[in-house]
Amino acid sequence: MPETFSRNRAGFGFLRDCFFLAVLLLLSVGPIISILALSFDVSARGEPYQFGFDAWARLFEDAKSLDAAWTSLLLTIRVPLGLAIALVMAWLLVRVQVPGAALFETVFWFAYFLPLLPMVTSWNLLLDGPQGVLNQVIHAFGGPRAFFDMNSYGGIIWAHMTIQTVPILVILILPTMRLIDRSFEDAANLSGAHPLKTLRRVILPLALPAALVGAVASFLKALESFEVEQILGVQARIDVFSTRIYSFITEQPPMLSEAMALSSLFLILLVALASVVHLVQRRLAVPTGAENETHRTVSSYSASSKRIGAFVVGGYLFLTVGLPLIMLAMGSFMKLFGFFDLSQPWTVRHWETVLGSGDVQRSMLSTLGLGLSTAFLATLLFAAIAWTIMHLPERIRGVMAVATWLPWAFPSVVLGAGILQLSLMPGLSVMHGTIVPLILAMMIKEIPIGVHLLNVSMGQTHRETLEAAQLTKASPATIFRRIVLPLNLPALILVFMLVFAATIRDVGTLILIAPPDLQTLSILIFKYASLGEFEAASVLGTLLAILCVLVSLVTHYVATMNRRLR
Amino acid sequence: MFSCIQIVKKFAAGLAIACLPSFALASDWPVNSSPEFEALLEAAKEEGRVIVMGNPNLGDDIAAAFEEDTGLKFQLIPAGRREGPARFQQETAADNASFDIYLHGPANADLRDAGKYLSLGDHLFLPEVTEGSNWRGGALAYVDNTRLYNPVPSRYVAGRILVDSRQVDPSSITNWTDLLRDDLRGKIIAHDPNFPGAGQTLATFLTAKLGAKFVKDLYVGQDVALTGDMRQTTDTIARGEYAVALAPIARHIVKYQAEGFDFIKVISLQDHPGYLVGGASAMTAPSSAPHPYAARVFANWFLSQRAQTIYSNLMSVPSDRVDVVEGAWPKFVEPVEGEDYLDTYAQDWWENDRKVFAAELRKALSE
Repeated sequence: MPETFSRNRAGFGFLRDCFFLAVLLLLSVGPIISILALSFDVSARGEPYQFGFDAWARLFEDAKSLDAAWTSLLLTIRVPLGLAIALVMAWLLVRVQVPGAALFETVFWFAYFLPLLPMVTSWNLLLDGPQGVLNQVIHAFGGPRAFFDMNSYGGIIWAHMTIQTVPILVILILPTMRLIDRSFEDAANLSGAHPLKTLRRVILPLALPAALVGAVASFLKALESFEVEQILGVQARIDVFSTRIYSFITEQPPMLSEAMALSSLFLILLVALASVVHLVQRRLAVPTGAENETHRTVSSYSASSKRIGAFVVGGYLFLTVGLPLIMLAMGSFMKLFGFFDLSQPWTVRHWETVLGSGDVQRSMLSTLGLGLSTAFLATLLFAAIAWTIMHLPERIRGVMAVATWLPWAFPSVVLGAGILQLSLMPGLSVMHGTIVPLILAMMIKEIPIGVHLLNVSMGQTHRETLEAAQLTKASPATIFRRIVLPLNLPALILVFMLVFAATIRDVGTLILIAPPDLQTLSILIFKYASLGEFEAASVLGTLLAILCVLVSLVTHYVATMNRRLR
Repeated sequence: MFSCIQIVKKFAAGLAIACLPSFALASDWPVNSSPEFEALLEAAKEEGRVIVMGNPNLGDDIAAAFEEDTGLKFQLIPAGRREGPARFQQETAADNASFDIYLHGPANADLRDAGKYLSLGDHLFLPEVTEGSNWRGGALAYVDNTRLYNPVPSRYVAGRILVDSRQVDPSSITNWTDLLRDDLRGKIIAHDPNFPGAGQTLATFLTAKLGAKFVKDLYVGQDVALTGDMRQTTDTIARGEYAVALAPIARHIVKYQAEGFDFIKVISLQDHPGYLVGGASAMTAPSSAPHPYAARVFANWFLSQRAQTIYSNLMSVPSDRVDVVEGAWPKFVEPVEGEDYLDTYAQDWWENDRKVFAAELRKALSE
């Protein structure tokens, strides 16, 4: 479609395209340039910029930083593991259509919305050392005293996989799974292939493009995450790329140049991976079924296969989402977090304290307000950027596609520090202390996934529809508003929810720039947890989880209604 | 007893507080005012509010009391242990602070020397604050020798150790060198000395008093478990996972002892019984504070008996005010009369000695 469908690029339309491309470059390439520039700043604090290589020299002499970078790469092993699980889950939900698939899908959304810190704390209660509840159960049955250890490489990988990697991969793979032509699968099943063989030989190859893109996205996100490593890594002395950068930023005085230099190292890897994603997208296309066919066709898998599938998905979700959530809720009612053996371990005191706190009320309002406003603005902007990119000449489109991935070249803590520096600069300082830097930061952070998903979705819009609209002399803006946006509503909703989720659970990006009126629940949880106030953090985590349930249900409802209407 | 109605009531009350502007009226505070303070308060009322960046626990109690006493709105930016200082330094250096007061540790000397701080010492107008006899040692303590920028109203003793008396006889550990015993190898937990905070303060103190070799023998030789979690030192002793915890946080010990963990014992080592820290009570106001008058009103208020009583109870630490005598802090954090403690919040230590010993420490631990 993009090759043949063209718009009138003269006049105002051309200017508008230039504007959106400039915005994209500003948001994606701008921070990279700032960070590179800061990595070469050798001036003392408060003095004018001075160019030099000191930070880079120190970085290459610093064995800890280089070790940390390697450890980060090692921990990305969770991505292929998570991808394998996600592919099976998505297949069971969409192709096998296990009983309760819609509910399970909502739970995956819900899992992705959940805040990291309280969930990690819950996993600690379950699996950490001799006092871990599951470890005690294993020990009671004759197993070792501490079978699992959360403060380890395995613990970090497990926490990430369950809270982040698998849910987001399932969410990203599901739409592509839905588009796969049912006839391929029916043919395999009618030929007597076992369901697992159908998965391996038919579904996986067809879902590979989306899976690879999702995997690369997860890989990049895996490198930049820091909260989990910050909690679980210290005791096991596991330092990763992002925690090292966090250390530089929070040194007294902050070692910003060193932090930026270390971040820049990652840029090379990111550009290479982003190029791979672009090539994969261009060369591999999913053979899709007719628009309405896929959802209406009855699954050709047997009832017993479906029951087994439901058991697998349900079991997995109970183990990875249900159990820690139960622990989180229990923790919020405990006098001392994790101490079940007190004579009277339960109390509602923490709930009374937290719910009666004006700070928490403000936080809840801030979380909703910031999440919704950021998601709304970001979705519109990303749609406009994706639409603009689609109509560029092939070569420029490739460059732009790679550019959209650049914001993931640095961890969120660096992005936050960079935005703070930017908002303190003369001329821009008027936005400091307002909501603007927060929205800007989250937009930058979510550009890669948002623009990419909308690009893929818009690429599937039927060319004839757009050409017909063009023949009626509709302006590009009208086509965009009346045809492109409605036809891509599912993707827009997906992006909206992903940005919303990212905003309400973010800590690293916002923590340095959130003004007093805009302290989100996640930030508050992080601060309570960092002071060891786990009971209060559990209450806030449970509140956020309830908020996430509501949002997940709304998402599910809107998505279902949309599918029915289509 | 589980009371849903009570929780819902509190929630509704909190929501109302969050949504509505403050209409609180000033109470009888201060008992004795001065014309200068009244003028300051009048100017501050024009600004309307004060924004404080500090410990998340300070929120509601401080807000309610401050708003009641001064009629000014109080807003808190809850600051984490590590990103709080980063934010403070970046905004202050850029002359674009989003807060008026930062309640944390000692402030940076280079920013002070560059004129980036608002002077507070010469704007303390309440008689109960300026009267030296109200303070331990005869005067309010400051980090800076100029006694203008960084007052510290609450100093307490840190550097004690916590022992699980079921595993180790507390009386068998009397000096720091006792921790090098073979039977304690692998049984000690401490805050990570590689990061600013409680862990680094203790390790630097030990480097100063006993040398870098001792610190290395202790942390590396005894295979000390390190944690970045403020509570884990106390928590793991209560669970019996470790026998000894170095420099645990008083607030957490109080919490566990209140729940019946009486086998966890705090002991003071005779050779070097600890050091003084100011916790989160040291105040700094950036010169770019958006509400400078309100910042100075807050400084006066925070140093008063009423505010210090609230702060001490919230944080489980004693105040330097001699009229704040009883509260929710444990005895072991109170400085003992006549004991010679290292004051880690004094300018000479903070800006000079500490840096030398911290460098020695880093070298020793990285070898």
